[in-house]
Amino acid sequence: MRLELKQAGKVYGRGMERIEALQDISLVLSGGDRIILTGESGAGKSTLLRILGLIDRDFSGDYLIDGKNSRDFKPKELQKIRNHIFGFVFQEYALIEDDTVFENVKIPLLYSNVKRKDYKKEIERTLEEVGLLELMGKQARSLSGGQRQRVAIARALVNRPEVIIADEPTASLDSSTADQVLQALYNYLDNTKILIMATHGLKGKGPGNEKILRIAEGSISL
Amino acid sequence: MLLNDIRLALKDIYKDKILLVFYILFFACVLYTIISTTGSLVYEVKRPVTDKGDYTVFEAFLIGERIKQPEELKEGLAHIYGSEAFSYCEAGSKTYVFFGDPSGVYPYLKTEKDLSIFVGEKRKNTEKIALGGVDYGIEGILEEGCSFESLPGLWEDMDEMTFIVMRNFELPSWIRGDETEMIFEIIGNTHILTRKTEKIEEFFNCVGHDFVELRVKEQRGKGEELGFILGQMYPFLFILLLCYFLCSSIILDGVIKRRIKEFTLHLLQGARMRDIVLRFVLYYIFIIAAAITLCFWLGVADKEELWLYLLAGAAFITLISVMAARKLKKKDLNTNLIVGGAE
Repeated sequence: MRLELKQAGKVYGRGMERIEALQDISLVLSGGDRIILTGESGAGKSTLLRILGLIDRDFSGDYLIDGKNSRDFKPKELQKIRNHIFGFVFQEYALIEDDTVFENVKIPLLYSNVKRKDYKKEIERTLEEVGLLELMGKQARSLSGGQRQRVAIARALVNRPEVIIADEPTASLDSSTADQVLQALYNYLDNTKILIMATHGLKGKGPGNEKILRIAEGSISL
Repeated sequence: MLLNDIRLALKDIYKDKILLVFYILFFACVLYTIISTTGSLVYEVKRPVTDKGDYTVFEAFLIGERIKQPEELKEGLAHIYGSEAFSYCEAGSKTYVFFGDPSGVYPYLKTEKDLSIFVGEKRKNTEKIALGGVDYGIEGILEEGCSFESLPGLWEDMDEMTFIVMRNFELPSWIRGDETEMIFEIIGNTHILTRKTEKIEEFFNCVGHDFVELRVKEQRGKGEELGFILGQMYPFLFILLLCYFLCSSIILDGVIKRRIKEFTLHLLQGARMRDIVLRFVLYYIFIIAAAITLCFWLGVADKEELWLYLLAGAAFITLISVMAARKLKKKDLNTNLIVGGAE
């Protein structure tokens, strides 16, 4: 897996309210890379992650995934990448509050090639990896912040993606919960997987061999 | 994938079960509005009147106690009702006698005989009726629910009525009651099936001014009814549908907002746009099907107009699918995750 961002830029607003969130960002990532993006609030970390995760496709520059430009993806290819290749962990968890943990983690499986009869097995395996198996039947709204974030991680990992993109996964968590959450993430990684994680400042240990990139005013420095 | 979409749509329906009841009632109201105004138009278009297309009805005011020349009056009325006119009077409980040929206005009463008897649906098992010691067979059974507008007081169950049609005007002996009162009633119920002034003048001259004062009450015709419907009812319908549409849009916007985050999450986890649109479409098919079923159950919908209801439903579903797809097709889906949604 190779991700290549070429001179990517992102502008919000128009005229007097125009904000250049990212300017000329170029990156190359391949299997085994562990990237930690740091920077102040508003520096552009989340914007960069959303571009990398194909949540935001309205940007300048080019984004190549295994050599193919993301602008040329047909809907079916886009669907496959979002389902099989990428696992995105959102900053605010982005769970469906009325649904159970099981139902939330099941969502990526609905659009995969996994047979319906195997859903439970896959979900249970993933929930065990994040230490939440016993909460499988609980509604998302009844969970604590740390538990919700681990459910979000489980959802991101259930289809065994090659690229994990995590946007400040420990932002509103205390240190020990943050450790738990990060450990759940790190346990999944091997030397074929790519991790890109945004954080204000890394709480707890890093994944090992991480490269820290600092974003300031829309530009990157090592 | 299709089965998944159906399951998710059913889950959406179950989640919103209380809101759905209100939504179904709302659509049933919209359908009823369309049905009743369309029904009026169709009725007026299909309803046959005379070839001339118009008829005149009258108001009669009693001004004398006796008819000065009753035989002359009866002869005159016989001539009037002989062509392009008819009248009727009550002849007992739920029984009316028509004189002349009422089929121009009431096609159900068409007959070639001098005396024919028609009964309502609920009396269809009657084999014969005795009038003045003579048995008469039943000429026809009136269709269930057929109407006889302009016959005063006939708001009760038409299906229990008996109508006796006599082509020649002659007060039969078996009708009990005061002759003067009957003739007054008959004059007042006269329908002249033309707007020709000669026929109306003949009627006025026949009746005279000693016994009854006559006035033209109404001149009704296909054209006037249609004009009323098209000129007044349809603009009203248009305004009402506009209001319904605005209400629908507001409700829809709320429903889409509530769901947009969830739909966006599904898109980001590998759903395709068609999966989301299908979920939406199935959700609304359920609502509209339930509303149509409710209208049929309440008896306000007509099988023959089912195509119209389905067309209206399809138009609505297309509209809301386009609205939802527009919101979901953004290049930057992040805004959908921030606004609206389950959280």
